[in-house]
Parts: sequence; C-alpha cells; structure tokens
Amino acid sequence: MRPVMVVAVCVCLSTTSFAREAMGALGLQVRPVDVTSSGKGAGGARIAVLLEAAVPIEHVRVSFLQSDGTPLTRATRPIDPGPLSWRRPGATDPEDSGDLSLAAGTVLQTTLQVPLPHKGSYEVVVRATGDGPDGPVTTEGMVRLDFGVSSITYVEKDGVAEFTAKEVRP
Amino acid sequence: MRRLLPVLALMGCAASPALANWTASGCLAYEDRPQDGTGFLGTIVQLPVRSADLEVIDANKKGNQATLARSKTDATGCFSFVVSDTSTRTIYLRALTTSTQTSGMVIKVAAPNGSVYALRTANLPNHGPSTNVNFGTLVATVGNGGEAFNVFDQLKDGAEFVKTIRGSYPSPTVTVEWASNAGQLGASFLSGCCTVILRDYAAYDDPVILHEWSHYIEYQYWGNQNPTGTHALADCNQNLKLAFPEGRASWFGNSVKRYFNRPAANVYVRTTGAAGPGGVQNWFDLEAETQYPCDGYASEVAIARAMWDPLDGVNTTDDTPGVEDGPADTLTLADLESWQVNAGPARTATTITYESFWDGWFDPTINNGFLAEMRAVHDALGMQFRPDVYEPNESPAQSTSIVSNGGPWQLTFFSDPDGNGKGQADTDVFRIAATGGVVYTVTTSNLVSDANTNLEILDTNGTTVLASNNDCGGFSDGSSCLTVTAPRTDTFYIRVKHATDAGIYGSYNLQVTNP
Repeated sequence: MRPVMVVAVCVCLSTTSFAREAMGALGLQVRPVDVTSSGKGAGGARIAVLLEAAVPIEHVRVSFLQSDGTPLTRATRPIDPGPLSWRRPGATDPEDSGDLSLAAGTVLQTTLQVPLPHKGSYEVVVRATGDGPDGPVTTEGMVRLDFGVSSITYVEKDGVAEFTAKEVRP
Repeated sequence: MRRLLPVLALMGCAASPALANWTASGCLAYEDRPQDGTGFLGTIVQLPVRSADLEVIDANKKGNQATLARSKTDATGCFSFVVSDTSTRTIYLRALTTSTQTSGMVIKVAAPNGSVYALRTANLPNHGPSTNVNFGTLVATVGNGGEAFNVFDQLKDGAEFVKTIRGSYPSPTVTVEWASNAGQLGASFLSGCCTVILRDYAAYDDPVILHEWSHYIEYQYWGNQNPTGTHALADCNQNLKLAFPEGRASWFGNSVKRYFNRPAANVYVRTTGAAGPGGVQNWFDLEAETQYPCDGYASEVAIARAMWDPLDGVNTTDDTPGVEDGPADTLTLADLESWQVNAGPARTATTITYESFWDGWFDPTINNGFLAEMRAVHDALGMQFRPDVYEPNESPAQSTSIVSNGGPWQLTFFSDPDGNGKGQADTDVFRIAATGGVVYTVTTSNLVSDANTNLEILDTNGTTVLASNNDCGGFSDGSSCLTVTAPRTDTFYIRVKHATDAGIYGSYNLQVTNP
C-alpha cells in the first residue's frame, strides 16, 4: 500500500469586520461595468446602478446627470430612465415595470449604457428621488469613467506615489 | 606595512569631500473643497499641509540611498531645514502623507498597495552642495494630490484633538487606505486595528473620514461591541450595540471640527465626490432634527445629537454662530468629560450601549453631574433617563391604582432610588379594580429607545400570573398586548417588565380599555 500523503488545508477565516459608512433613507451605488470603444474616437460604458431602501420609498424616479448638474444626453436627448429594467440581486426576472416602489430593506439594480462621445474622463451622476415616510427623499451617486485616458496623475517611486506639483508660487 | 597605515589613513581623510550645508525652504498647501449640508459649496480654498514628512531626494538613486535629508512642515505648511551634502547632483523635494518626523504622531494615508502619497517638486539638476533652495509654495491640487493631503489633514486634526484631551497623540499608527480608482464604494473601519478604508470618492468628505477614524479611537480607547454591517441613518430602531458606536463616531468626528472651529462643524455629510457644487448622498445636522428626526437611543443620529449638545457652545461654528441652539441645550462642557466616560465606565460595561454612556456619566468614579441639564438635552431627543411619576412601583404593594379607559400612562423603565442619575432596572406595577365578566384590553405602545415590554396580569394575591404576553405583533415587535376577561369583580395587577435584550431602559405608554 502506497503511503498517502495527507495535505491538511487550513482555511483561515478572517475575523476582520467592517464598521461601514451609513446610508440614508435611500442608498445608491454606481459602479462601472465596462468601457468599450465604438470607433471614430467615440465609446460607451455600462454602469450598474444599485438602489437600497432603508425605509419604504414610493414613486422612485431616477435621472442621469453630468457633474455640472445638466442632464446626461444620448444623441442630444436626455437619457430616458423609463425603459430601465430593475432586478433584485441574483434574480433573473425583472421587477414589474411602471411605478417603482421599494419596501424597507429592498435592493434593486439595473445596468445602463452611457455614451462617451470622445476620449476623456467622465463623471456620471445618478440622482434618485422618491417619497419616504417623512417626506421626499433624494440621493445621488457618481461614477468616474476614464475613456482612452488615465485620471491617475501620480508616478510610483520606491513605494511612494508621487504627484508632481503643478502649481508652484515663488 | 605597519608604517604605511598612518599615511593611508591620512590620505583617506584627505580624499573625503568636505560636508557642506544648504537650506531647503518653502511651503506646501493643498486644495480643499468646503462642504456643508448642501454638499460641496463649489469653491476651492488652499489650506496648509501641516506636519507632513519632507524628504530631499537624489533623483538618480533609489531606496534609502536616495534620501539626503528629512524634515517636516510646520503648522503653517512651511519649512526651512539644513541639508548636509557633498555633491553636485539632481535633487527634488517631496512631502509625504506620513508623520514620522513629528514625535508621537502616527498617521498615514496610503494607497491599497501600501504606497504612501507624496507631492514632489520638479527635478533640480546640477544642484551644488552649498546652494540654498527656496522651493516656493507647492500646491496639491484637486485630482493631483489634494485628496490625499486633505485626508492627511483630517488625521492631523484628529490626532491633535485627542492630544488636547489625553495629553498625548493616539497610537498605534492609523492608516487611511485610499485611491481614486480602488473600486471602494463605501468607507469602513477595519477592526483588528488600525486601517480605515475610504470610498474612492470620499477624500473630501471630512465628516466621513473623521467618523471612520473615530472608530479607530473607539477600538483603541473606548471599546465597543459593534456588530458592524450595513446601517442606515434613517433607521430609528437600530441594534443598540450598533447605534451607540456609530452615533458616537459621528459625534466625535464632528467634535474634531468643532474644536478647531472648522466650518459647518455641526454637519455630517456624505457626498458623491463629483466635481462642482452639491452632490449630497446623505447628511444630517447634529444640532437640529431637520433630517432623520428619530427619538431615542436606538438611533445613531439621535445619539450623535445627544452627545453633541452637552459640549457645544455659543462659539461653535454651526448654522447659528454666537448663540446656543435651543432651550434644552445649556451646557458647554469640556471634551474630557465625555472622554473619561467613554474610556472609563462605558468601556467596561458588560453590554456597551448608550445606556452605558448615560450611567457612566453619573457613575461615582466620574460624577460629571449636571443631571437636570443632561435630562433636558436627552428629553428633547426622546431619551427619558428618568423615573416616571408613578415610581416606586416595583411590586403590588407599591402599585398605583389606575382605571380602565383612563390612559394612556406615559412610563419609563428607569429606577433611580438614590437620585444620582445613574439608573437601575425597573418594573412597573399597577392595580385595577375590575368587574367580573368584563373584557379588558391591556396594551403597551409608543416604545422608544430600548423599551421592550413583557406584560403580565396578576391575580388578587399579587403573585399568580393569569395571563402574559411578550411581543404583540411577533418576534421583532417589542410591544405587548393582552385581552382578558375578569374572572370576578376584584382588584388585579398589571405588571410590566423589561423584556430581555441588550438594554434595560426606555419609555412606553400603557393603556387599559374595555368596551
């Protein structure tokens, strides 16, 4: 009988825990899914939007803005959030279309295609509003999208991320 | 050979270049984006980079060999220090987001890969070893180092604040891990000490940075039993062991801003980080219930407000500078008063909740006093750390008579026989003259703070339990309800005990009705 070498694999579970940043009545997270080039210097990105309600929120409305507060446009028209398909995480079937309401503790997510007309660094702001138990609720989320450029301006040297001072006053 | 040694030694000395000194001077600033409850104001101001490590670097060398001299910036962001050098070389100067050159101060801002951040000058070629250099004022701008140095400046304020209270800087080293592209969607404190992980877009959210840093202070000095995880400002009925450390972290973080007269010290705000004005994700005012008007200490927002009021004053940089903020808010106490409670009896409590803080305030070892003023502050926030008017009524013998359809009676679970402010567990007993055959409904309602009732109907002997109920509406409902038919015309007792959970206090209403 051949000796069998038993390899004991120790799975060390971390006991680390996180005291997390608080959300408000309505939480909103936006993250990039991917950025693609569509030729002729233009591109697009998919962004994932996640809504989480801490209290019941009715009549949830979502709009997409640039960081200066103006509407995000596609072909010169503001992006219409109406056709968005919202799903619970892990679910395959979308929620019923129409008036969007979230019970306390509900999480819904969707994905949106965002146009990137030229190379650059973009900020896409998502604003969600709704009616909560204590009145209107508004929150925002933002995602930064780098298309063909890097927003990172430092250079690593010996374990130090060095920004070069651009402004030097005598 | 032996004769040659002194000669060789002499030649060696002669070959060494003489050390020369030159002075490096200049100033460092970073661009800040001021905020208030509306988010970013849309302005940019320059603030000094204080207590940052400085290094003069040989641009053509690596590692420790590259560092020619070390120093630090002063309270105005400026510096002037002597560099000993021997060679003409290409040099540059950099300021780091570390504080190793400041005795006792151990703060660091680093990228997730461990790299600390720095703001550097351009290379200065052919620098002679006796040539002084004034580097001018270097500015870390928004998007180009400003974020990292703003985080560093918050840690600096926090460290200085703690030093004013306890006489020394907090330790060990606290590291804020941040990058603009790390993919972090939420800030958090990593228990196990001592790392704060910051959201990519939160580097200008001073209250968020200071809140998470305050968890490090809790962890090191105050203790907490925070179950961690997702939590919401809008939740008025949080786990007590979560509400306290989260509310306390908001209070202490904003107290740093208050102490140093930073603008909008009363505002906790979380933004999207987007360019331009606004960008609020959520916010609340520590002085006014304009947002999240929760009553009771099962709310982290209410706790932050309750801890804020005894220490703020007319000079607080809030929305109403020059005046206090309401008739209930009359105290302006020293920060040490709260610190010693947090670091003392509240730390050693078996279950650490806001009740621990209240009791610790009046613990004989602390004896902070101001009972009437503290009750006024807490009453205004629905935290009734006071005996109700029917006390003492722990037993049938002490019970107060009530009549059906007469309530509701506003009650508290809080007993304080010696009147020193520190409470004890409480049971409320009432007696009622019932008519045989009549159906009575007894309910508890309006449960605030940790009120969690267990309701019993006792027979005339005061001991036999005829009926009882813990949770009227299911497990998560702390209220109780009973519908009973009086077996005869006689006196019966209603006993309300605090159900077992994380706390022992709270307020509630009792009502007895019959058709």
